[in-house]
Amino acid sequence: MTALSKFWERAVVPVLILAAWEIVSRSGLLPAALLPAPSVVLHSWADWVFGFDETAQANSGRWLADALSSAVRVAAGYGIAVATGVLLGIAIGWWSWVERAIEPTIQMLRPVPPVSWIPVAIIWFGIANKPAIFLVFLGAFFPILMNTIHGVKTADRNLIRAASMMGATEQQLLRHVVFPAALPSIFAGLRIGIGAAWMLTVTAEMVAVKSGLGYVLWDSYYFLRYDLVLAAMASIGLLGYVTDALIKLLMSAALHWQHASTLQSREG
Amino acid sequence: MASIELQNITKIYGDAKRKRDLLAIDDVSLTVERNEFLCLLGSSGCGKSTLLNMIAGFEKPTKGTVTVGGKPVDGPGADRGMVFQQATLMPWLPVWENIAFHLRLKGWRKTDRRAAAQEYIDLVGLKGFENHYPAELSGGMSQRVGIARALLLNPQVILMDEPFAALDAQTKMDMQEELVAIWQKQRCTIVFVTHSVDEALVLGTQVAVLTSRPGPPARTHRTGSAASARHHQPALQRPQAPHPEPDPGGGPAAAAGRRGMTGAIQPQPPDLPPIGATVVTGDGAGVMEDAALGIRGGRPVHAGLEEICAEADKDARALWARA
Repeated sequence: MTALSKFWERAVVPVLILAAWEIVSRSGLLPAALLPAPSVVLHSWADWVFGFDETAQANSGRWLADALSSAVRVAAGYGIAVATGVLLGIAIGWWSWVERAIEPTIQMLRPVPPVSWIPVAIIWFGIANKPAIFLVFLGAFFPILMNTIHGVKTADRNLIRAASMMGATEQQLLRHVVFPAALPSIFAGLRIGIGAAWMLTVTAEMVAVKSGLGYVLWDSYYFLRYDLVLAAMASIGLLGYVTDALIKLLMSAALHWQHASTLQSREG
Repeated sequence: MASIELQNITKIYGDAKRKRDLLAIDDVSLTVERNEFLCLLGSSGCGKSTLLNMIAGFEKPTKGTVTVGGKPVDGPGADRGMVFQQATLMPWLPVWENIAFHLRLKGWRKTDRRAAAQEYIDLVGLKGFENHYPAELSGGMSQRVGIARALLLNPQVILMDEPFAALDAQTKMDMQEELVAIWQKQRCTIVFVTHSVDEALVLGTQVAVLTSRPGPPARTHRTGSAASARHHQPALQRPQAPHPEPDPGGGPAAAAGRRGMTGAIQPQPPDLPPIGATVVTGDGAGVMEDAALGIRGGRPVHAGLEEICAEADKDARALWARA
C-alpha cells in the first residue's frame, strides 16, 4: 500500500464528518451562533492562536499562554501521580503487609469521583494552580497505581527465582526484575492516566482556576461564543493526542524488546 | 570431598483444603561427590524436582539437612547455578545481558560484562546471537543461554531441572552432547533431573533412581560416564553438531579413566540400538555396579537395573526403528 492511500484511509472519516457539519451549519437548520461551521471555528481558533483580527476578542493571540498553563498543570499533577503511583504500586504488589495496610484505604478512595474533591480542594488550596494539580493527580494516580500493582503481581515468578539463583538481593530483584517485568502494565496505566489528567485539568479550570483552555471554554460559554468553545475542545483533544503520542513513543523505546520478533518477521 | 549432601530429607506438603498432608519425599539421603554428573531419575511426581529445589534453596525440607560444599543451604545463591525446564530469560535483555545478569547484579561496568559474557557465548555456541532478544530465539538456543548463564556464575554445582524436556529429539541429542563437552571442560558437579531413562544413562556418571511418591532414592548406580556416551557417538549416526566441539582434554576415554571408570569401552557392533542401551552394553555389567554412594535409606529398589536397561533398550530399539 502506498503512503498516500494509507493517508486517505485515515483521513476519510474525519473529512466526511467535517464536510457534513459544514453543510448542516450553513443550511440554517440551527442558528449559526449555536452550531458554528468548522470554517468559522477554524477562523476563531486561528485568531486565538495568532491574534490577527480580534475575532476571539479578549483571547486573541493568547492560545499559547492558555495551552501552556493547562499543560503545566497536567505535567505537575501527572508527574506526582507517576512517581507515587509507580512506587506505591510496586510496594503494594510486592510486600503483602503493605497491601494489607494500604489497599483497603485506597480501594475506598478510588470510587470517589475526583470531581467531587473540588470543594475540598478549593478550601485546602485556594483558587490557583494547586487545586487543579491536586485534581490531575487524583485522576491519574489510580489508573497508574492499579496497573502497576497488576504488573508486579503478574511478573513471572520463574524470572524472580532465576534472579535470586544468581544472587539478587530483594532490592535488586525489584529494580532489575520486577520493575522491568511490570513495565508493560505500568505503561498501560500511564496512557489511561494521561487521558484522565487532561480531563481533570479542564474540569478544574472551569471551576477553580482563572486561566487555561478549560477556563477559556467555560468563559466563552457564558458569552455564547460557541465557536471558541469548540476551538477549546479541539485544542484539548489535540494536546491530549500529542501527549499520548509522546508516551507511546517513550513506551516503544522502553519496550522495544516486545516487538523484536515481529520486526524480525517483517524484515524477512 | 562431597560436594552435595542430603541427609534424611523428608518433605511434607500441608493440604489444608483436604485436611491431609502429602508426603512427597520420605527419608532420602544422597551424597554427590565433586565433579560427578548425577542424574536424578524418576517418574512424574516422585519428588525429584523438589529435591533439586531444596539443593537450590527454593524449598526447605520438612526434616533433614542439605549441605553444599560443607555449608548448609538456607536460600538460593550464586554458588549453585540452576538451569530451569523453561529457560526463564529476562525478555527485556539481549542474550549477552541475560548471560551476564549476575555481573550486572554485582555492579560490573557494561564493557566488562560484555567481555566476560563472550567466553560463555562462545562456549555454548551462540556466537552471532549476542544481541538477539529471547523472543527471537528457538527453544534450544534459549536453553543454551540458560546454561551459559549458570556457567558464568562459576558455581560449585549446576542444577538442571529437565532442561531438555521441551526440546525436539534432534535438538535434545545435540544439546546432550554439548552439555557433556561443557561438563568435561568446566569440571563441575552437575545434578540433572530427568524422567527419561535414556537421558539418565547417556549423561550421568551416576544415576539415582527415585521410586514413585513418596520417594526415597532407591539406589545410586554408577553408569558409564557421560564421556563413554560420547565415545559411542559414531554408532548413533548423529548429524554433525552445528558448532565445533571443544577438546575434552585428552579424549573421552582418558577422561573416563581419570574419573575412575573401569572396563574398556568397546566399539559397538553396527546392529546395536543407540543411546541408553549402547552405553550399558558398552561399559559392561562390571561398570554398572551399585556404587551404593550415600544410600542410607535402605529401601527396596523400585526398578531393578536390569529392568531399567531393558526399558532403555526397548525405547532405543523403537527409536532406531523409527529412524
